[in-house]
Amino acid sequence: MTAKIMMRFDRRLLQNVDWALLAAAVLVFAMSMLTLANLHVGRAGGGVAWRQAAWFCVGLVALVVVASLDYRRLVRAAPGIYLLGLAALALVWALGRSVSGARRWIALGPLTVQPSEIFKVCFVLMAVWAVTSRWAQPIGASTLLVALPIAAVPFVVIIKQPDLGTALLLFPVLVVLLVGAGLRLRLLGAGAVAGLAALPLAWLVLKDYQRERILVFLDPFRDPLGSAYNVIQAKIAIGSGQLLGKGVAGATQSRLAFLPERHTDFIFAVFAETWGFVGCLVLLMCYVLLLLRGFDIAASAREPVGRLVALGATSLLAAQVLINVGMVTGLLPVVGIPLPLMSYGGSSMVTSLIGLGLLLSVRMRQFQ
Amino acid sequence: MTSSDLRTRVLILAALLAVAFGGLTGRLAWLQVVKRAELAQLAERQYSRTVVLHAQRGAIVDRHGTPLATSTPTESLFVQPRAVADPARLAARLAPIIGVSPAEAHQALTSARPFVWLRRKLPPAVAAEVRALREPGLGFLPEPLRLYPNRELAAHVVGFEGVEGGLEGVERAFDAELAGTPGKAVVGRDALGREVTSQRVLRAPKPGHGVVLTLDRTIQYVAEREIDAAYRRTGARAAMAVVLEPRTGDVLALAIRPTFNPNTFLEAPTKDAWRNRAITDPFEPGSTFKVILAAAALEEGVVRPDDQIYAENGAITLAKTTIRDWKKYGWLTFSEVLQYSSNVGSIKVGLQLGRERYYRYMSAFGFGVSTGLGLPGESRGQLRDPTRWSLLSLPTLSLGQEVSVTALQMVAAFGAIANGGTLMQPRLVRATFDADGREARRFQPRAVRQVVSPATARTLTRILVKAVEAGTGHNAAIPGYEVAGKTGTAQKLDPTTGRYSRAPGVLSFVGWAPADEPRFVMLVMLDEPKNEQWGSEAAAPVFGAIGREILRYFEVAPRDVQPVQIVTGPADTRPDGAAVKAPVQLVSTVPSGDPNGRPAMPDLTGQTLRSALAALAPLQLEVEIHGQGRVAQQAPRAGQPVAPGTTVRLTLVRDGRR
Repeated sequence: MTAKIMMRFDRRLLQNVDWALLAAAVLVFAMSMLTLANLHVGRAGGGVAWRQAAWFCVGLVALVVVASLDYRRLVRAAPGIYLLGLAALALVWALGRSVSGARRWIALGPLTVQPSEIFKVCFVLMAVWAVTSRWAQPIGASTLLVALPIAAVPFVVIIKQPDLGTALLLFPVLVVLLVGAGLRLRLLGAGAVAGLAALPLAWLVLKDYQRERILVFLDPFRDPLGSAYNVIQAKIAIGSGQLLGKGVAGATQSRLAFLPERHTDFIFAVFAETWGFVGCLVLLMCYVLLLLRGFDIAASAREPVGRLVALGATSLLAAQVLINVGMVTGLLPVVGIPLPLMSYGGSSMVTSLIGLGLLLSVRMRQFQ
Repeated sequence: MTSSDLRTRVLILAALLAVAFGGLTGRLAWLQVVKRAELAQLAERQYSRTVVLHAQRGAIVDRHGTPLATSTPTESLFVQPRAVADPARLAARLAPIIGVSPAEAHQALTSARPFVWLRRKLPPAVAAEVRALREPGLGFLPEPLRLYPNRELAAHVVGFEGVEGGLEGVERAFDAELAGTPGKAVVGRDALGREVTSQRVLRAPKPGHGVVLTLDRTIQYVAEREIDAAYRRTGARAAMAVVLEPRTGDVLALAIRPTFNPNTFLEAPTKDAWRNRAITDPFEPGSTFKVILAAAALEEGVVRPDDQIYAENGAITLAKTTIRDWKKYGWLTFSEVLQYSSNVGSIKVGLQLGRERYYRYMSAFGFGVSTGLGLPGESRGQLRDPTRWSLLSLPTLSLGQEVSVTALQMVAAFGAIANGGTLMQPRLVRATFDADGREARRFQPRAVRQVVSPATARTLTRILVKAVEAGTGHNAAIPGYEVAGKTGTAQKLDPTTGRYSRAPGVLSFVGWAPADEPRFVMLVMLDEPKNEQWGSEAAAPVFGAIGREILRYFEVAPRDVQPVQIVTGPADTRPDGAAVKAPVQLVSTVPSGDPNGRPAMPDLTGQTLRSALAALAPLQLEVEIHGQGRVAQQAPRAGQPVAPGTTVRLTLVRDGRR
């Protein structure tokens, strides 16, 4: 078995590793390290950077393992993986650890794991499995009927944690997969209308603070010291970075703790304050490079499963980047979504790298 | 759908992604380029705070530069209780250093408020000790502390400073000059309000100006000592001594009891102790006021010193009211009327003088108006217009009743007689000086008016010398010197009966010495002394005791001592190298410089500042000093006649730079 895997690596597969994709990812990670190393968060001071590096290593191992596995085998195993993921989400209910009012984490010894992060990958695999399953053929209304429950069940579970961001993230990924599978756009439009019609229902499901966040997004000065504080502070931090940034020492808003969640969800604001507009362009270019490689992998895949896995993984990363930067810059309401490869957090880092592993797996096998 | 169609769809999705990223870039450009100034300003405002930098308060010094009030930098310790991890441990460490009980410290450290003062105005050494603890949550703000190194000395003149500046005395009157202008600085602070960057000074604080008083610390000390002793001995309600220099009106000493320590002014038993009674509390002067009557009568030619006045055997009845003398006198000269303080005689003189003329002189001596000393709360006293006088007003005013005066008004009026008839405005502040010690403002002595002629002043002086030598004021005599003065005993109106009570009310003595060349004029006053054994003349010996020390301090030679010529040893060496043997005189009769009897300017060249000032002291000149070292130039030249009050310029140069 081992010999067999080594054989595949040695011969055909290694030639097709997407080094540009990996390089873009490493660049983003480097910027994350640079930002975290200069943020003195909590008692450990610069400790978050080392922990982030350790998680990156863990993620790299996961990436290599996933890339070395044939993505088709992973999709075949998707129902099992998906059920395991759902079970983990259920476990959060049973023995989850609560952080600032949300129950999203499970303690595993000294580590805490956020199952909803890992679940994103499970969901991508399951959605691909469903869309390519025989019950979903031909692509059309039946595909929708098969695919929707696969998103709806975890949506309800995750939104109850509560983790609005992750829950909402499932839908753009699903939409992209359906588009990539060849669903008629008219049908997709009908589905979107139905989804919009269901929005009032979703409002009922939301927690008060989540509703407040959406209202604050519509009117930031509704409560400048409460929910809108993050948004206003992030805007001030980003704007005061101006064209070239304040540098590491001068980034007062981030370093002086005016900016909450500055090492996790709002790390982009810290980066923007420190390196300015030019720095932001460099960071966004890295993401664009990474994501375009993902689309390239999807476009050059020879068969539907590979294309859809690549599309799913790419759209998962793309949606997170767009939503995170959108919310930090005040374009979107604040929902708890980390910036892939940048935000501090082990589960998110490992999940992002597994996503990259899936892309590599597809790329390496595109000629098989 | 064909495979190429699906590939197109992927490419369209990629294009949509690119558009979305374009949107994000646009948003960033909006925030970081278009709105950058506005947002950067918001950031600046958020992390920086403007703090006030205290200005150093100017010093208050006596006429010789001895500090009476100074400021020293101290720091006030505060705590932000939320940042304190272990209040119990911190309280135990902190309490002994800052001198509060651990329980008290613990209470402050666990307060629910975000900011609590732990201890105000800690000396720098203690502040450093607290800093060495390196405990989070503690912070300092600089707050200068006002110190009064001489404690009670001249407390009523100097006053004191509260949180918002000067509250009493010179501290209040000159608050604007003393306070200076506070500065501004910007400090960077984090979201919890902790200072994280050093201060950037926007405007440096401008230190306040110092104030040079006319007080002489030595004379003030003597006056305080004697007044304190009299206050305790007699159990008086209040006691005071006011000493002026007659020629300039300079207040040399102003001693008040009860008193207080301005360092801890809040601990004074009553706020009454803060009051500068010499200017705020008018009283009925009684017999001392007969001197004012006498000055008016002599100036108007109503009487001459040797005119005989019949004292009616001790009683006179006017408007159904009988006024008596303490003793039954027959015929008295006018001089004796004052000497023995005869009421009947005074009334007769007063009646002869008439109300209009008497009122004119009382006003001219400064009664009924503020002296213009400049301290807060000065009373004008009460002098009613003659149109509102009753039939008895003129006789009672002749005895110093129906009029109320402040101690300062009284001593200034006597000063006018001592000063050859010219009333001087009492001067308390000589000058102000800036932080570099340069003079900022100068206050010149100011003559208010010529009240009586020098001849009248001389005549009255002789009478008052007799009053001390052979009259009621004999206890005020100073052996070896001629003292001119007058006792006063005023009964107070008993509020229940509406009549003058027989118990001693206000005992006073006002006078000057030496009589013909006065160096000081002084009022001593005891308010309601209880201890009867000192009788009606308890104030006079206090005058004598203080006066003796003042004359000794001024090195005024007693009159029965002949001028002695002493030849100094190796004598001073003049710049030209010629050794001179200068006769040094122990008395103030300096060789006359001109036929009018004005003294000559001595040659000071080559002398140290100290010896030059000593040589000039008896001439009563205003001295301007430039430079340091020994005298190189002087104006006027040596030998020129100088009148008292002339300004002398001395230019000093350090040895070797000449």
